Amino acid sequence: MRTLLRPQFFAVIGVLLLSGCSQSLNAPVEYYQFEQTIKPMQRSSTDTIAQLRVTTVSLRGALNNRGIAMKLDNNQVNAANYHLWSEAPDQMLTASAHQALFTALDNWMVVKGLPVITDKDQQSYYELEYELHHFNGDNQGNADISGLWRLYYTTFEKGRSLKEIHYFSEVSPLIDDDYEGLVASLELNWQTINKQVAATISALSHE
Amino acid sequence: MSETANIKKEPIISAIWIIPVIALLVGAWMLYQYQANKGATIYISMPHAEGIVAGKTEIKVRSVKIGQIDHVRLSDTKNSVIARAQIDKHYDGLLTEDANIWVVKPRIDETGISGMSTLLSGVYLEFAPGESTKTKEHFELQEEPALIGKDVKGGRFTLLSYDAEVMDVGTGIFFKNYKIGQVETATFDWQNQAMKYGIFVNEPYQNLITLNSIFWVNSGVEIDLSADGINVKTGSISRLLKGGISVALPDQQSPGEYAQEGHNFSLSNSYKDALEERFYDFDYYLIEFEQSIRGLRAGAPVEYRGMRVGTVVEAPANVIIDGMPAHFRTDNTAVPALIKIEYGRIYHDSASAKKFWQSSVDGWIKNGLRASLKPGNLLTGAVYVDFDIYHDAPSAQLTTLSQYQVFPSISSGITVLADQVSDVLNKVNNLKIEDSLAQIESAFADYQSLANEMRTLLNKQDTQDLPGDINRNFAEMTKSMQQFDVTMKQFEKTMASYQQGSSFHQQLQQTLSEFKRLSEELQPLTRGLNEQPNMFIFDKSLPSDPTPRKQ
Repeated sequence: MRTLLRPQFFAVIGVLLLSGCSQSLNAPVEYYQFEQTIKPMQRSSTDTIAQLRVTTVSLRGALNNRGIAMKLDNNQVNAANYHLWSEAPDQMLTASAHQALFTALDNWMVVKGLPVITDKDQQSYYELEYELHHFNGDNQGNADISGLWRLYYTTFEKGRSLKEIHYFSEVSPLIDDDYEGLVASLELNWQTINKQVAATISALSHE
Repeated sequence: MSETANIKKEPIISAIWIIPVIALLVGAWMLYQYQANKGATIYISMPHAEGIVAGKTEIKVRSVKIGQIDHVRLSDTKNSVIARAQIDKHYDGLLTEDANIWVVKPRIDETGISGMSTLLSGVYLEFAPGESTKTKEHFELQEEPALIGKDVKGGRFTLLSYDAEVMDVGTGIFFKNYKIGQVETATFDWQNQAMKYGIFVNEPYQNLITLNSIFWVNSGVEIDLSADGINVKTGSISRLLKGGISVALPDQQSPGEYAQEGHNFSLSNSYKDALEERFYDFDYYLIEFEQSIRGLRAGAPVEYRGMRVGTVVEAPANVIIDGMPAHFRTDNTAVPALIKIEYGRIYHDSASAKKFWQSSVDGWIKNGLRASLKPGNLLTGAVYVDFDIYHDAPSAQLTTLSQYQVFPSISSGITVLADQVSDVLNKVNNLKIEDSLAQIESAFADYQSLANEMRTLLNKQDTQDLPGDINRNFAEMTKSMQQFDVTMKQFEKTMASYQQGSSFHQQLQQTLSEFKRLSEELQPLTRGLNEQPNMFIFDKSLPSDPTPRKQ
């Protein structure tokens, strides 16, 4: 009796363990990113009037999270567990902003957060800094990007100085249902904001 | 037949009485034995009976039991306690009238810890028999243990201190830092306003105490500030806590006669003071100065041509004549100062010095010996009394005012100044200016010849070649500087590989951004684990996301 029970017992346990471990992780995680269509473009420093550096976008609090944010009510935000950004939102937004501004400001050398430029001619430059407070959808069916941007001007002689600060709030209804619609709407809003920024910057009387 | 009866007379006392008689005898013998072995009974009066237990507390001499307290009661006046003690028979002879008795209990004081053994065994009374032949049976309990046993041999002396700090009983007496005795009694003589210390010096060190010994308070810490730096000397802990009294002979003095028992010495504050105060053999003199005595202080020296012979005692002297102070008399405007001539300063044998002084002073005064005030310190304005021979001084002699002899004086001030000016002029006069001028002239001649030699030297070809050598040296230095410049450029190149924009820096930046990316990748996992720790084993069962809906 004993000799029979022992192997059977271990077999059952083994089967249970194997079945437990071999269970597929069928979590339906979905990844999203901005569409960000790239048009072929080129720019030479000799043809530009000034240099603009886009620094990495900073997102406040839990917004810089791979889970896509949804505002549940005025004081509660949910980061999605199964609908994630394919890369960190700050990187994605910086790349997107750079591309949008590069397109819009055709006589500016728009660069993305290069650490240093040793050429003395290029040591006078503008710096654009985004700080996002909202980057989410909400239960009312809107996509919301709000925050501020700052423009600095640095010269070799005078150093860095703050030129402008603009607050913005771009809230628009979703194009479509679900997270795909939310991501597309957010991208649209972000394009709108960058166009506004480009318009403001191009209107600057360059020193 | 007849029988005769023998009549026996009955004994008057029955033989049975032998037993009580024997019992009586035995009893009497026992009583006698008891009385004979009982020993003496003494009574000890004490302020309170703390720790004393009848039938238990023992009386000891040198830790040997000689008796026991057998009864404790309050005195008739109820303000003290009388303890009765039985002393063993053999020790009756110890109960002398000069014996001391005190309680041995745990004590912690400057001299150390004593009586610790009584913590468990309870207190006992220590009995110190005296040397008297008379005995007594009533004793007073001492508060403190006797410092010096009756049988300890040595010498007793007295120290008088007018201004030294107050020392405790038990303070050590040190000779060359070796303890030779201690303070036995300390009393304040209110009439003389002085502390009077009875000191005991153990045998054979009492022979160190001679008539010219000096005593001073030794604080235990000596700080010597000299060109070699600061030197701090300390003695033992007890000496540091209690200080001590040092005794010594003044430098370069041989011991004088042995001091007799009970000889009075003066106790000074320091060795320096002691040296000043050791001249016990002196005479007071008044000196009347017909000038201001500003700057003359008590303690100022009295000198004869630079040799110190005495000390100023009071300036002005508080001499009262007919109830009036002597320095405010209408018929004499002079201000008196009291000095003392200390014979020990004149010669180490003060007796012969005194004899010499007293026999000669009249002759000296006749020859012009006068006292005057002289500036001792130009900065502080302190003055001292100077004796000197003034041949042109008006004749004078010793007079008497009140109980003092008055020493004739001569006015100083302008006179002194005039003398000093005269001294200076004499010195100037003695300067050999002609010689100096001649020396200067010869020095100039030497300079002239030196200049000529210099000119010759400069005209030589070798000297003129010197700039060429210097130029060569400069060329070599320039070469070295160029090499240094090359080295610095290489160094700069090396450093450039680490600065911003360099490949090294970019690699670092890249690594950091990879780290950042990695942490972002891990973000959903850590978040999921946070919410569902068993996520690795079981299926992910996090709450589903809210779905965005169009308006």
